[in-house]
Amino acid sequence: MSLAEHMPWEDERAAYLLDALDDRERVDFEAHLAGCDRCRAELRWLQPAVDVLPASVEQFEPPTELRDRILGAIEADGGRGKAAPARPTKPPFWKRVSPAALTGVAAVVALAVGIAGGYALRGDSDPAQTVATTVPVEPTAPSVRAAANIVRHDDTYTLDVSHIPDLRPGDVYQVWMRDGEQLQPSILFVPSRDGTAKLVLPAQTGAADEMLVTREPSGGSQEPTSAPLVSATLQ
Amino acid sequence: MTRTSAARLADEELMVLVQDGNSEALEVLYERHGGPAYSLAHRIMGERQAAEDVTQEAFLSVWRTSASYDAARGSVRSWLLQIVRNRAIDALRRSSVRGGRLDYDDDGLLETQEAPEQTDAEVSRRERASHVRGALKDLPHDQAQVLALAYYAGFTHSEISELLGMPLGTVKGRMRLGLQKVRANLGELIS
Repeated sequence: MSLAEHMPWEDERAAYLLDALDDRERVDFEAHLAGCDRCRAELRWLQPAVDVLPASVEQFEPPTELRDRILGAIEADGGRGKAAPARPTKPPFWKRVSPAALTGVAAVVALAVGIAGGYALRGDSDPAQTVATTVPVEPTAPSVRAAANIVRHDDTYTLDVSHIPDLRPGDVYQVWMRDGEQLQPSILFVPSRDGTAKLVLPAQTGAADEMLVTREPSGGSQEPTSAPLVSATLQ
Repeated sequence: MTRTSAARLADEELMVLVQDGNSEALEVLYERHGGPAYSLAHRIMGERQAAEDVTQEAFLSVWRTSASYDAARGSVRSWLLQIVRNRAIDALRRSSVRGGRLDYDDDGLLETQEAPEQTDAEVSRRERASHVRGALKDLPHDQAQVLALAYYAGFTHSEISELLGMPLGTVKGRMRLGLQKVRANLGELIS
């Protein structure tokens, strides 16, 4: 990367560490960061300055009952923040697709497999009885480098994601299913450290028109609190 | 694993236990870092009940997202306090309180009031806070102001630009210079 290409990002680094970029700026900067050794080195050097800021504030002892409240909440959180249950209301999306459209889907599938390079269609030992369908999941902005597919195999839907951006500490990704005008919260996930995730989607996937993924606080949200990073049209 | 034996473990070892669903390990983490977590939440939220709620949310986030902790990226304490800060800023953004704090200044970077408790942990925290304040006190007001508005009030640099009526480039520059100066001043403390 040339110095001229790099220079516009010089002033973004402090704002990034202080969480002072908006969602789009953050995604753009992270895309730049992936290919910029200079910025990564500077962030590593600056990070301790942000880490010590909390130590500068007036120190209080928390009330004694807060410890019990927290431990009680953890005890009650047996499900570790599971999202809303499945809500199938329509025939699955692949049953609503016309034969002509299926031909188009097949072309998209082939393209998706080719582009994604590794997201292969899955099949049983008896392919005549099992049809696998792959739907590409698209980034919502050019600077989002995430690649993903939803693969339907029998009645199971799997979401495979790679290159998904880092989360803020304590945050999770949340899957949403749009069914007409209704946007339903679905499952939560935290990607592996290499930016990949593979998860089984709930049965409601088959009834949805669109799937979206957003960043949310742990435990998830009832409505999205950030812009979607990726989306997939399911019919 | 009992709480007594968990108390002998390092934070990073406790996180492994938390990932396995060990609540005693989380309890030990709370005993070690609950004070700084609550103090930071109190600084951002400005009142006790909201600070308690944020602290509770943050420890619940640690419990739920423990698998995302990466020791290579920093200490458990830093990770936890980032979660507290994120949860507090999220809460501010959801409420109308933030709108009422538009006169936010840099006082938070230069707090001098000391906590009344004098436990060993408290003394250690006070000493650290004193070192940090010392490293911060030479920061020019205009740089401390933009750092405080970003870190403690959760404003983006565009919002700070609008709030202070100054060009975005000026805000970005002050943010960069301020953070670089804090980092340079803290060299000895951090090492």
